[in-house]
Formats: sequence, C-alpha cells, structure tokens
Amino acid sequence: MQAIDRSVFAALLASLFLAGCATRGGGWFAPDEPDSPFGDPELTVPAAALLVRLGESRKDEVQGRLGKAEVVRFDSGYEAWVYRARGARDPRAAPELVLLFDPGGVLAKMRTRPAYGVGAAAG
Amino acid sequence: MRAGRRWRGLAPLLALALAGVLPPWPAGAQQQGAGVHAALPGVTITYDPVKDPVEKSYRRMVRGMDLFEREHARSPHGQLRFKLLPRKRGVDLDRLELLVLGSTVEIPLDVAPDRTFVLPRDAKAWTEDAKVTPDRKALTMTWRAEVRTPGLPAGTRRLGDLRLECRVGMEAGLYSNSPSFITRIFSELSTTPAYCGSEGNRYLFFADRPIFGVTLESGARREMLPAVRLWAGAIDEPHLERELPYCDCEVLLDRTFFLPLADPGWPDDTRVVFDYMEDRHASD
Repeated sequence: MQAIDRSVFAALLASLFLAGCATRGGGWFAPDEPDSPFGDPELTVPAAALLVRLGESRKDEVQGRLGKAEVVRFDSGYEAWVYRARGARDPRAAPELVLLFDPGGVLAKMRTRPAYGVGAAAG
Repeated sequence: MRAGRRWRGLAPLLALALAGVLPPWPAGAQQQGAGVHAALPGVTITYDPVKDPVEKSYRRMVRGMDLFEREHARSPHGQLRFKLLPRKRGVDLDRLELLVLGSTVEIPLDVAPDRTFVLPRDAKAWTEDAKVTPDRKALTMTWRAEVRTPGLPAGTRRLGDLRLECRVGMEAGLYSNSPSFITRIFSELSTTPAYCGSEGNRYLFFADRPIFGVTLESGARREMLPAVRLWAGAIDEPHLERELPYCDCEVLLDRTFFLPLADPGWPDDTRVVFDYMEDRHASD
C-alpha cells in the first residue's frame, strides 16, 4: 500500500514537472517560442515597426501603441527603448525592436533584429 | 614637475613638516642655525599635487606587446597602440603628461591627439620595474590596447583586431574595473588572455562614437548584436546608476559593447559595422 502511494505520488510529481516545463515562454521541453515584448501579445516585431514613424513618433505615443519598453537612458539625453522577446532557449533566436529617442523625445532611429539560428522565432 | 613626480613618495612627509606636525630640524641644529637664519636664501619647494595616480606596470605592458608580436597572424596588417580614455565626467585628457618612470629612468611619451601612444622597449625601464604613469589620479581615466588595420572603411573594425585587443589588454593588465563590477563583468579567470576565448566573456570595447547598433558581417552571414551586448549590458542591469561608478565604462556607456570573441563561427576577417546614434534617421 505504502509502495503504491509512493508511485502515485511520483507520477503526480512528474506530471506537474512536465506541465510546468511546457508553459509558453521557455522551459526544458518547451517549444522555442519566446514571450511577446509588446502590450498586444499578437504583435510581431516587423508589424510593430510599422506602427511608429522616424522623426515623428514621440515616447508617450509609442508606449501607447507598443506597450512598455526596457529603457536605457544616456547622459546625452538619448534613450534606447528595447522590445525583446523573452524566454527563448537561445537568446540569438529572440527578435528585437530597438528604438532611439533623441533628447527632444522624438524617434530618431529604429532597427529590427530578426531571430537568428536554429529555432529562430518568427517574431 | 617631472622630478617632483619621482619624489612624490616624500610628499606626505613634506606636507606634515610644512604643517608643523614634524619637527623641522633637530633641536641642536636649530640652535646652531638660529644665528644665520636671516642670511639663508629663499627656497621654493614644489611637489606634484597628483596623489594616487593612475599607474600601469611597464613590464606587463611590454608583455602585452610581446603577445601582439606572437599572435600577429590574427591581424596581419594591424598596428598596436595603447589608448587613454576618460572614466569620470569633466576629466580633461588634453595636455596630458605621460611618463615611463623607474628609480632612475624617465621616458616621456608622446600622446597623439586621439589619446593613443606607443610604448618604447627600454632595457633599463624593464630592469627597474618602471611604471607607466600619467599626471592624472586613479579612477579618473582608463586604458585599452588598440589594434587597427589601416584602410578599413569608416565605421568598421575587423574582428581579429578586436580579439587581439582583448588578449593584449588582458596580458598588459589594462582592465580597471572595481571589485563589485568585476564580480559581474569578469570572472576569476578574467585576468589572463584566456578570458578572451571563454564563452560568455564580457570584455568591454569602446567605439569611437555613441552606438545604436553593431552588426557582424562575414561573407553572406550578417548578424546584429542583441541589445544585451550593447551599452555594457545596461539593459539587464536593474541597478545601473549604483553599479556604473565601478565600471571603467562609466562615462562611455553609450560607446560600450562586447562581442562573441569566442565564437569560431566568426572568423578574424569578420567585419564589425557600427551604426552610430547621431547618423540620423537610418533604420534597418
């Protein structure tokens, strides 16, 4: 009886472990499908790039359209806003949208980094 | 000025004496000299105000040059210079005086307008275990090896040159991050050139101008560096403002990047292409 309890418990533990690993956004057995960095999780990096305009878009407007970015602020007044997919097993396989705002808060530069390598996400 | 720098070890004693903390003269001598005091000529005492200067070991820097000679194949046309960079805001590196300084040897070095210099080989400086020392305080500036192949297109570097920069820089002991940042940026193995070939190394390079992106190009292969390799990895540093003073990239954050030096998939001929922040309105 005690042996049966132990095997049931082990099976339960194993199923919980596998379920946990198969969640979206990474894990040992998960497909290499990173989490979306955008407010709208269906938005892809190339599609997001079409929603902003160089020399026109301002920070509040971009945040409203794309969601909150990871931001690096420089002494020069420039800001880099990074939207990067998280949770990919291979960081090279995670696409990115990187925006540069000038000290006046206007979008000065933009680049999209595609996913590279095996298992690259379409993002 | 230079003589004063050689005797800077005596400066604290001199200061104490001038402040009256130390007796200026043995008592007997003071009595003997009292009668002639008025007849003594005036004396001007000067000493270098730079305490705790930035110093590098001449021998280690020469070892870096030796490594460059041994591994020149990585950069067949590359030329080695050493470079000085600011580490704190407001530090003026113009009109900088740089010396190789031993117990008797003293060699002034010419610093180019781009703040690079060549270190001469000198047997006496080696024997005296001389220091390479500028007239600037510690932690106000930093150093790097610079290996450049002449004739490359503007805004590009060669990966083999940068690999060699890392190896020479480590051999020459030019890194100067403080302990808390060393823990994160450098591993325990990071004080040797082998660090440059270790996977996940984070040897910090500085571009000539603030960078928005860096792309590697080799034949048909082209790959942009992820944001985590730019700006000293600031994107993954939640306490950046607190950590930055410990990094020699403190005032160069927007020029800092690190490369996949250990990846054999990128040959030495790989071109490193910079997209600068102020080249406006370009997008990829």
